[in-house]
Amino acid sequence: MKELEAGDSKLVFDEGSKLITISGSMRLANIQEYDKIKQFLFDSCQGISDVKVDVSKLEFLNSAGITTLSMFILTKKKEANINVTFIGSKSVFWQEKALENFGKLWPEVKVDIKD
Amino acid sequence: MSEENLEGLSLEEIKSKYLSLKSSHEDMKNLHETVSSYSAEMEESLFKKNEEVNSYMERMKKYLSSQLYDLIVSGGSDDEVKLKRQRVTIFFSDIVGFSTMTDAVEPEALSECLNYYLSEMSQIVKKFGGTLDKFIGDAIMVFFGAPKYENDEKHANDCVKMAIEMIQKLPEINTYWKKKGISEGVNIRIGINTGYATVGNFGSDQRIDYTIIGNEVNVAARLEGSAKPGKILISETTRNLVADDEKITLVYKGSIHVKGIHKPIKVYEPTTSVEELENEDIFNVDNFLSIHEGNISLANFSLEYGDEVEDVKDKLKHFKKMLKDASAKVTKELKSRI
Repeated sequence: MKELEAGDSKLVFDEGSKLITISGSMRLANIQEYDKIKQFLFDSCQGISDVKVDVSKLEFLNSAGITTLSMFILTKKKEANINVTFIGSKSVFWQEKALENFGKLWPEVKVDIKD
Repeated sequence: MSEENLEGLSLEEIKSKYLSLKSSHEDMKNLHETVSSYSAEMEESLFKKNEEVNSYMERMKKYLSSQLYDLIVSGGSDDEVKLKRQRVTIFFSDIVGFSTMTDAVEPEALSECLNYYLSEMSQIVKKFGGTLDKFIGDAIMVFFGAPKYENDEKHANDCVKMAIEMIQKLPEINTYWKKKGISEGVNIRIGINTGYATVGNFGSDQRIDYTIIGNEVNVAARLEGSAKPGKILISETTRNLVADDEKITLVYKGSIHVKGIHKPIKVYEPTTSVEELENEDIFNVDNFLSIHEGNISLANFSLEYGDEVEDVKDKLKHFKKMLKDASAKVTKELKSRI
């Protein structure tokens, strides 16, 4: 289990289930501050062909945060034979629309919004 | 990409680079759209939350005194509402015979009239910067000096002036009440006292009230109970703080005993109109001296051992004339102040 705490948010990578979970409130000041998040995401899913990112407990994400996740998707898009799934929740106000918009970046990205 | 880099590349390679650039451009365009759309959604959400907060704040305003509301919304620290001993001027009022009215008048009409009365009174409290502690049925409790403390004189002055304005507002409220079918109209009694009280948040972790407690609070409540209908009864402590204000004219009403306080309390009534002043027992020596101490010298009047009856008669006659002249002068002066 790998973990990273960033401000009020926490990232956990479960090597067993190959699941990255992001929770809390992600409000880092700018895109540079998000470098450590980006690094954690890439390091965690290295060599994994079926990447799953669970953001259903991520209550808040600012625009620098959404840019970081979008850049992650665009980078993964360029890799061959890889699946990326985002798991979200309808009960978190920002997720339904924002996660569906990831499809514009890469139509192959899977979005699983839970009730 | 510079032309130099393209040198030596085949058409196919150039085409591949072009497609790659086009794809990156498309990604960036999509990224921009995604982030813009997210930002717009967040702004919209923020706007709605702001509206929600404003609406809650507007509603909250009605439940708090303006001073307390300002303290909370300005992000004042909890220290400002922590329990502390503070000198405050305390005001109590209630409607004369309200309990009887509740039996005789339609509840709907009475609640409408009561709300109108409380609303008008609250506006006056707000105007003078009082902390509206609570409504207790038809009674109103207000204090000056917390949570924001300025100075004792100002608090007492503002409180007495507020009370006078409340009394002066009654004819207008009466018109409304009578229109609504309450023929007896409204009359109130008011009590004011100044002293140290414990001020702050009292209650449980579920529910708290910002209020004051202490003996001086009880004195103010007792003064209110002892006041005549339509009158304001103030303690000597408050009177001493407003004595220098030319706009407030006070009449000494003697000493009274109130329940729970063993010492008699010297009480005063502020006059609220010229008519009242004219009807006031200005020739009462106690009143006269209390409102114009020092204006009259009693040096010329002293009975001595061995005075003949005629001497005493002469001296009394002389004193009576002197008192009458001085009181006419004072009455004229008092009228000019109102």
